[in-house]
Amino acid sequence: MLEVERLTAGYAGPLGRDRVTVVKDVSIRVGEGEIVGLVGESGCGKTTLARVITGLSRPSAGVVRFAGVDVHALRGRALRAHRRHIQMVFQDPYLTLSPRQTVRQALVEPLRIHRIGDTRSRSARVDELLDLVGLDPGVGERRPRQLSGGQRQRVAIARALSLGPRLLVCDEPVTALDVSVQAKVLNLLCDLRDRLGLACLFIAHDLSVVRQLADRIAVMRDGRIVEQGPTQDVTAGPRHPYTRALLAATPTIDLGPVASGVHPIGEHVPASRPPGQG
Amino acid sequence: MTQGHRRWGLPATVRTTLVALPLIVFAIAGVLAPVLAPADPTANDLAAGLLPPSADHLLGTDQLGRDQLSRILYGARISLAVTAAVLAISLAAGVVIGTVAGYLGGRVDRVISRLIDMAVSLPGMLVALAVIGVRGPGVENLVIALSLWAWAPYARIARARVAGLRGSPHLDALRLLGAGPVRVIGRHLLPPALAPCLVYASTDVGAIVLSVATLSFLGLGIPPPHAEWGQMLIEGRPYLASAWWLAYPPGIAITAVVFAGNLLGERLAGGDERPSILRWVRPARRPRHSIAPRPAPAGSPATSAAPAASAEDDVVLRVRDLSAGYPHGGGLRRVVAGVSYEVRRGRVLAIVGETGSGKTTSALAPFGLVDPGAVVTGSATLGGGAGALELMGRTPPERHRVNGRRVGVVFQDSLAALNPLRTVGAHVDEAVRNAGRGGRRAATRRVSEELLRLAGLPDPAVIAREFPHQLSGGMRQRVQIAIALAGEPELLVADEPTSALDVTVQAQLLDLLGRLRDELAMAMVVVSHDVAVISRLADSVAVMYAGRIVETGPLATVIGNPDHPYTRGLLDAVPRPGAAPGTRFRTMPGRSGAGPDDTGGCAFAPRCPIAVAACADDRPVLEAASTVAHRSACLRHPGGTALQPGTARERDRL
Repeated sequence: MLEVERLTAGYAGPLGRDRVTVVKDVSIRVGEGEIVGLVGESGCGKTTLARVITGLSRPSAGVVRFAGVDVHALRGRALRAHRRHIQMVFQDPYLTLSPRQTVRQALVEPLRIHRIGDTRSRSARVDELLDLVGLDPGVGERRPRQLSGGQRQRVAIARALSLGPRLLVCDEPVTALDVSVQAKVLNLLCDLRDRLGLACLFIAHDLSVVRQLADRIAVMRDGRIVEQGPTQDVTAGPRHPYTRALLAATPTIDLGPVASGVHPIGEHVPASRPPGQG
Repeated sequence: MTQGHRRWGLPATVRTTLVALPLIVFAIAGVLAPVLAPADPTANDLAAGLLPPSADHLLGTDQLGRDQLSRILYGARISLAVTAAVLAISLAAGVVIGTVAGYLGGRVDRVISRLIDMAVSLPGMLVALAVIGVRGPGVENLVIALSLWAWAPYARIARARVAGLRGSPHLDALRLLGAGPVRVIGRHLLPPALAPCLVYASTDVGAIVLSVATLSFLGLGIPPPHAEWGQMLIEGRPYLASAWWLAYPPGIAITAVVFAGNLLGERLAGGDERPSILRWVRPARRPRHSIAPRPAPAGSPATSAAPAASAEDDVVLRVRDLSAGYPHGGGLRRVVAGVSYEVRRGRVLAIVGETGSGKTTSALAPFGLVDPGAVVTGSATLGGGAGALELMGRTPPERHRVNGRRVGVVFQDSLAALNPLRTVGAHVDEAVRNAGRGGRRAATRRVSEELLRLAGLPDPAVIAREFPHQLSGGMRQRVQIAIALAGEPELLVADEPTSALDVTVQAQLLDLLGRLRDELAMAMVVVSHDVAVISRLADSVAVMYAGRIVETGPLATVIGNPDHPYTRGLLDAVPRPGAAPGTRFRTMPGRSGAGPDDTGGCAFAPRCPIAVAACADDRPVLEAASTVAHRSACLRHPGGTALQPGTARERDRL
């Protein structure tokens, strides 16, 4: 359904001229109803890739195809119509909701933008969405600051679902949440896949989360995908040394030393990473 | 609302209104001038010229016999109407121009920004003089002349606000949902840009009233027969000595309005994050006050019994019945209640819990590293045997001799913990000198470099010259560890030391902490929200829920054979390596966030799958579970028996 072919992308440098390339020659596919995990550490280009896939940024080379259509060739009305198919859930649930809108207003807005339904049917749709993500209808009258982190992320997911997308790109959706809340949000994503046949590109820095959720895993480092394959293959028999290092570093509650000794990766500091990326 | 607003016992809204009163009074007076004014402001009566204030003419008459009070009232009308027109035009133009510039960015932004710079740098009064010089005096020209330069500050404020919001994720989310630029600007950028501009406008009221008066005073504003405050001032000038009532009233009126405008601006600008002027105009529905806090029960029983004491001298930190709370509505709202723990030499205790469970307070309160307003009780003894030192009730200078010397602390946010203007070397040098290990400059630096090397930084001499922001998060955390080690402490307290870091860096740091524990035989208290992370390092664990320790014991026992249902729920939420993709997590219903005194019974009972009626009334205490060292605060002590899994779809109730 989603095909990303030999994608290279970056963002403008500080002076608006030289582009910094952070995604290099990346190819990845997400099938219908499939959850694909994209794992990598901060600064590896995960977020930039997500922004290009959703159409928020443009690639410098390569193609993003959704259901056979080149996403970045779309303009005007066709682009608007396409927007309904791919939605994104962002990392920080505290920043993705407008502080001045109530939950209900935030959920109605996409329906208004696309002129879907009338006041009554929109309201019914909002109730349905709140129910879908496991929130009480009473939450609708609240503003984001009156909600917990897990509730906000559910609202963000509900809003992303409001237009009935076929692919959800989740950029570190549980990183800012407590472990027990994280488990609930992950369960929710699994349920949504099962109930709505929703495909999902799940971006995370934490392999342990991804391997319990994803059907396939792609490991990204320094803008390139170094290994990709079915979850079992990648976690049980990693081929790339970086994947092995990630697996060794992943915290688990299995007792006993998982791997002794220091890991074969130096700390690298990306030289020109602007704040807020990665 | 903070206490600041409660001075003089008046609510903030009332005080804001009081401050704005002169402005409001004159505005009303101006509108109602035809009704209120006792006489026609332009009717001459030369026979009654220059009469002092009397019952007929409350403020006297001018040289042409016109009633001064009527002229002041009609003057308010013109002065304030002109001001309002200028404000409306410049505010609207400025906010729209600034918002567009901030939103579009690039070339448009650069051109508009230069334009704003030019408008701001022009002497406004000269522009106004030039415009009126060309177009002649009159109300319309006056408004044009003043608006021509007054829009610029608004544009600048709006541009800065919007440029700051442009990259915000919630706008990205809107674009993805298909919102076009018109909707994004109109619905989501204009309102936040407008708020600070409205605040600025309230101070601008004074400046514009003054400008109108000045121009009229110069004879360029409102032409004579009309009453205008500035105009009245000029006319009163020749009679300043003989007829004071001509110049003083308009002078006082101008002063009062300008003063009110400035005070109002100050009040509104000092409001909290929300656009306060919007709230003032249209007060938001506030949630009803949260339920009154339950007063802390006097002499609440200690949640834990003292563990079997052995090898006294080995204990580095012993905390007994620690409670911490904040004054709240006359009582004390506790965040930590009856917490007891101890750490031995060469051992790592992990305090685990979720947001708001009181874990950080439990670890840092013994060292006075909590909010100064917090009330901390209980006892905490550092060291055993002869060197034992009670930490509670120490003065700051006494604490100084302990913190940094006998105890080192590593905080979660390494960027906030280090001064951005000082090099890493300067930070460590200072810690070394504070610990009394410094000497001459070069000697101190040598110790610092040794500490940085000990913290696993490969090239200490180079790192020491760097500034905190030039290092990665993992390296900064190592710098914090180096600083904490400066005093060769017996105890290291680390608050979420690896939370914001990548997994590989996190693993390296945990290995470093483990090595330091072994090599230096230090005791450590590590606070974390992640059971999986600390399982790499800790020897024993204390699990906290709602401000109390609910389970404690050796790491292997607590993780392998958890007794308390909350611990079990916490462990269930951790992803398992062997699980097939798509396996659901077992989750706990409800949400955390309760305080230690919110219920009389077990705080976890409402979420507990095995709760019985007694759980709501009897507060469980820590009791031996599987072994003596493994203790748990649960009435049921389920031990190894299986719990029913939580349902897959939980309602996130409030």
